[in-house]
Amino acid sequence: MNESMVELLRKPPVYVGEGISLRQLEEQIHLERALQNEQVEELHGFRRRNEEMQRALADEMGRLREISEHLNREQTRGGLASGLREIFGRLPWVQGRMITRHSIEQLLRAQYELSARRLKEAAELADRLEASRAVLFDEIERLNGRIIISARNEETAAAYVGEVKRLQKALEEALKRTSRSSVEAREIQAQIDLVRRLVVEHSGYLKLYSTAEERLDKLKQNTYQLAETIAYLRSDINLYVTAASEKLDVIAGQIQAIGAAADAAVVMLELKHSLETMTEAINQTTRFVSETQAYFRKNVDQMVDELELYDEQTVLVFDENLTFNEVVEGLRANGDGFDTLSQEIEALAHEKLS
Amino acid sequence: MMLKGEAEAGYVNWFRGVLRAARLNSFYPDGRRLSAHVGAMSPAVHRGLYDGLQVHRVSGLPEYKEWARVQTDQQIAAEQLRQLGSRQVLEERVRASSAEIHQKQLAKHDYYSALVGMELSALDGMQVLLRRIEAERRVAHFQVVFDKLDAAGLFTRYTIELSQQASVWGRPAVVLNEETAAYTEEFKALIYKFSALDSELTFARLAGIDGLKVERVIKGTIGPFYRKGMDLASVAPEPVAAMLAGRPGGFVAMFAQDSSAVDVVNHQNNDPFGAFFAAGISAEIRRDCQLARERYGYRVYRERKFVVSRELVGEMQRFCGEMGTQNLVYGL
Repeated sequence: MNESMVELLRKPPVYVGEGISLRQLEEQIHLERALQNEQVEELHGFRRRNEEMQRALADEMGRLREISEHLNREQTRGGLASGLREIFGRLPWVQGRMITRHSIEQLLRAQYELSARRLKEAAELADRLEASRAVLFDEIERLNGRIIISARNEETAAAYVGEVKRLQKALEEALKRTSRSSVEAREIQAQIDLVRRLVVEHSGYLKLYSTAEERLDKLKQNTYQLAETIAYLRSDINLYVTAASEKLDVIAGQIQAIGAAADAAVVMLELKHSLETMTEAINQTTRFVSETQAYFRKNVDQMVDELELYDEQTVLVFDENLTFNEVVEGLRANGDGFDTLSQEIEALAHEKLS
Repeated sequence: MMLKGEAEAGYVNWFRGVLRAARLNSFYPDGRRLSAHVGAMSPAVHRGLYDGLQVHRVSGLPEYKEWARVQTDQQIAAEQLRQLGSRQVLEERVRASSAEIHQKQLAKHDYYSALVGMELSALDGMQVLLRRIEAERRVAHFQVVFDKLDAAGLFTRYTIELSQQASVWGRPAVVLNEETAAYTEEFKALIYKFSALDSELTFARLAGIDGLKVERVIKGTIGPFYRKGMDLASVAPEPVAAMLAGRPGGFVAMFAQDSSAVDVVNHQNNDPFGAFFAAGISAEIRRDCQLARERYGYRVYRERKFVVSRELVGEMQRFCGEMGTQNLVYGL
């Protein structure tokens, strides 16, 4: 056996990486799968959130669009305030609030702020998806690193197993040429056994690295699919976030001015009405006072003349009333006599009437 | 007007400095909250998450959408922090990956953390405080404070002191529970709509409501703030545009306060720019206001104070003197 053959047996190949065993490989794959399951679960969460957000945002933007379209129509017609009140009154999300008493600017701003919040949440979701996608691509890079290591080790193992097998063949040929019980034959046999051991050992490695490469590659494909799905989802969200954002930006610039302008007419009307009511009240009071004064001035002499007569007549009536009340109270104090008398009076009155 | 980078950071610092220098009393929107709100627009806080800061072309204050943006971000901050996860994990991702998004997510974590618990200005908040109750007359006295970023891009605070007679007729403006007072939506809407007008018109309008007796309406306004980059010739009063001409570092920030109250001794106008900012009210309504003054017995006092760049203090004081007013002018 020449020097290089001895070297081959004495110095088996060095594999790169952390070393490998069936248990390690299983653990590795298990870890990667767990990570991937987490990511799939996260993706489900993202999808659910996206559906909710897209629905909510579509609602919010629909409302804004409806308002915006209405504003454009009404601006040209000139009936901004009343028209807006009408449209707000019809919108289900106003939830029966007393629209005629509300400020349009207030309602528009509340709507804008709600839409802005939805949009912001959607943009945050898009960024979280982008971060997840980046994490997945980092993961793919890491998997690629491991795949390359496995492939390199697989190649090393295959090359070594090939060489050792060639050596085994040469040794078996040499054994045939020697006498069976000679020392040389025993030495060659010992080397063949060592070679067989190395073949088994490194064939195992070859198989393990090949399996690792294959399984990691499969995991990588799944991760890649996941990353692509997330990327599609993100670009979907980005699409509506960008569109909604542009719309909202335009509306932000107009909303206060439009709202305030729509309110202004109502404000002036309310103010005018309020001041008119006040003026009317003042006028009525003034008119009442002056009319009363005129009446007194005109009638004061006659009143003074008649004062004595009024007084005499009034005293008489008061006296009669007082006497009657005293009688009735006395009867009431005596209990059922009052009822009897009442019934008698009623009967007499009935008789007279009929 | 869009400010970016250093200009954006410089504007935020300047704005906060102006608010500090203005020494605002409680009849103005809360300066501390306003300062925090504007502070959150600084790139140092949002860490480059936003392109820049849009400033209102007429008021010189940040645009409505910028105030609303900070408000929205604070509303979602706690939930976003929960979804972003731990800062340590985000940091590890930044170290391990070259993807820019990880840097962005880390910046968001820091931004939202800074926003949580921050006391911001309300863009339209109303508070009602019960001052006292006269049980025998069935009258409750309230103070109503209403803050709003108005359509002109200015921050305003209405402080209204009024009393309400309990009545079976009409709808109350304020509803009393055992210990608290709450405004009705109609009442808030009414103040909301009137926020573009002055205190007098609000006084006259409120005084006309059955069961309400108004004692005082004070309107404090923050802004406008005039400075470089604005089209001063078209948006600023002519004297201000003249003061700022050729002074690239110069600025004039205004803080108006107008009060209509039954305990003000005389009508007085101490606002040298009153005519410039007067609301466009018809002569007819102004005439009716005269009647309202007589009927409700209130008087109107208007004033305005200023924070200006140091070199403009003397000039502004001279201008006020020429207009026959005496105003506080702080230099910064």
